Amino acid sequence: MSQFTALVRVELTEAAKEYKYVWLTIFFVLLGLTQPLINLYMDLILQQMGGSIGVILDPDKPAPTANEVFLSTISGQFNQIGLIILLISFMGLIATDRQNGMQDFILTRPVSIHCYVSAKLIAHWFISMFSLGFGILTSYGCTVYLFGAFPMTKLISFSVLYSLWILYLISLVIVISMYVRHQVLIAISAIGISFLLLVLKNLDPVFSDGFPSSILNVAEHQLVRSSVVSYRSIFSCLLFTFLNLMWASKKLKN
Amino acid sequence: MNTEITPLLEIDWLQWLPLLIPIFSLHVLLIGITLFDWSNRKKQIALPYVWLFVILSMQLIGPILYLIVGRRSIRHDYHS
Repeated sequence: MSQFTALVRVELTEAAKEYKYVWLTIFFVLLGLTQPLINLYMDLILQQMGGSIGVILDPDKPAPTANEVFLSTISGQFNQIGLIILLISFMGLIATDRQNGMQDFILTRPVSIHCYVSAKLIAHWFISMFSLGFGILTSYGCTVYLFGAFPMTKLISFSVLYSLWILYLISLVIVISMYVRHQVLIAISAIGISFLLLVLKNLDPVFSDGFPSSILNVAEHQLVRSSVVSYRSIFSCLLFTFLNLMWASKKLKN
Repeated sequence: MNTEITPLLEIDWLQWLPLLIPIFSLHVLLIGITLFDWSNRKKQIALPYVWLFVILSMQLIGPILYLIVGRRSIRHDYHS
């Protein structure tokens, strides 16, 4: 167990040396701050920048509620441009260790492979949730200030479910970097697979329970009630994460 | 593309100021950290002035690209 904490601590200090806590946090805070503002001031922006015969929004449209705006921040910004930046920042996860010989150095010591892989997973999950948490809190504060309150319990249950999706993404990057050597290719294939999963989650309500990305449907259900949702997808997301870890450590052993 | 700048002059900037200040200061903070790191590593990284251009020209994406990719690309000795 002390091996595990030591490996996690190595990852965390390395991230601190790269200022990863700072810039990833600033990035997500900016994302969380701009989307509610754009939602609120879309009328004004179109009026000012759209020219004299520009487009206008329907003046009779119902005003968006706070939880809808918050959901649009998450699914529109965090889950698209935020996901890309997050996966790009993960791309050196195993690959740099392999390139500078650190992996051989660690694995010739009496450290089990499961320990090494799960330490990577937990450490990077912690780093990304630190930054994402600040982003989500800023977005929540901004949304509540501009659009009115919605309960904090919804936010917490949403964030817990969303963090499981991030956990799956990191395990996906670990598996990919077992097979692909080049860092840019790791990032591109991880982005491709995760966007494919995001499309597949809305394909068919029964069939898509098997995909790990369908946990986002459950998470969105916490904010905006939808009719068809099944809690089996939480289980499938955790199962896929576990299988990815087993796969990666089996590949590393050979 | 709308290139007329008169609407920009008509905007009531005071009304927007409290909303723009946090966004603007976060951008400045990010670019500041990146430039600090760049000036420390100017001698080590490959193509330092190209990266300076990238940091200053593309806001938000440029500094992040430098921090992920640029600061790791170490110059080889035999090139210079």
